[in-house]
Amino acid sequence: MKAIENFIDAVMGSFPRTEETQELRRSLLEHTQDKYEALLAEGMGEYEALGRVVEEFGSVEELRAGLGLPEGAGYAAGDSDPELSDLLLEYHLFCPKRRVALAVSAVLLILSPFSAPLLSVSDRLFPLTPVLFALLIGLGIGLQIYFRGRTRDYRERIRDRRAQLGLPQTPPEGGAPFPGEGKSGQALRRQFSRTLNATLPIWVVLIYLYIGIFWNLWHPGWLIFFAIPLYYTTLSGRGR
Amino acid sequence: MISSDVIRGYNDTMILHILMEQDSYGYEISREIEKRSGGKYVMKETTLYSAVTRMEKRGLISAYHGGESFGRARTYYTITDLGRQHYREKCAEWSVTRQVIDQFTDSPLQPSAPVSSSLLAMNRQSLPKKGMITK
Repeated sequence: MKAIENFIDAVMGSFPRTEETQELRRSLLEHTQDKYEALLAEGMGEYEALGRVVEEFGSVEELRAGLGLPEGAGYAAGDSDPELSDLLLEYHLFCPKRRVALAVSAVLLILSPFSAPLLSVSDRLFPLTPVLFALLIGLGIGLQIYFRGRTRDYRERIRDRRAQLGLPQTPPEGGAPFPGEGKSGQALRRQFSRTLNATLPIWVVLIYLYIGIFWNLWHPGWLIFFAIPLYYTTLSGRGR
Repeated sequence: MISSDVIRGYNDTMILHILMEQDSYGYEISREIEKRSGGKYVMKETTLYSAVTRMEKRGLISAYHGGESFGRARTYYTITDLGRQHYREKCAEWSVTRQVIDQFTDSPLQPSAPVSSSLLAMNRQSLPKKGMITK
């Protein structure tokens, strides 16, 4: 059901926020949710039902015309171009997965210094501490790299397709260029990135001191310092 | 195969026809249209709602929040007197249109027959019954 809501948001993303458009959004949401549920009840699979709802939805330009809005040059859902619509929809469905994956990776990275206390419960497992430590850090960083990479990939493909079609890259009314993210979300993330960029070495040192003092993990804790060059070359290097 | 040019002129009428019978909500309206057209016409959501928005602005229909049904509070639409009048006008218009087009198309169902000048003048005093051509 979230997928339906995301879809409607994507479609109406570039519409100005008036009472009329909000009312329309509610009606469309209600209607497409009814339709989606009815298709599921008929035994259709989730993705197939979603695909059918999207396919039979119609053109955003028609909605704009009905509301008396000026033409958006097909910006909102790339409505007349199947490739762009598909890309936007795919990206839209990908965003929640990415959020989950990045959250999980953050948890793994945070847990990694606790490998020692976690494994100290058993004498047999304790020697495996460096393995668990490396595993958690590896998985955490791996997830980050993979999902951020895919996001960059999607965005690049969407940008390219818009350029090919001669469409503007940002909506005329100043909404979000990519579905599934509000303007405030973007600003927050950028702020967080900048802070992290500036203070990462401090965090690494603090964590190292913590695991050293409390669990005597000076070795293999020193491995954590590799996070610094890794971060700067892979994750922040693109200057989002 | 349905001509989008032709159907575009009657999307409003189809919705009004359904609302003439009883108030209804979005999904139910589109389901009824599909059912009654024998599956030949599936109205897109954007078409439906741009028509509904237009008709609301013109005062042909009005919306209200109905009670819960199937676990959701729904927005119902009802036809107004202005809407009923518009509907009757569109019915008459279609009748004339169809008879004119029939003159210029071959149909296995209807033999060609001359169209009277009174019809061409769009005289609304007597609405032609279906299938009959008054002279």
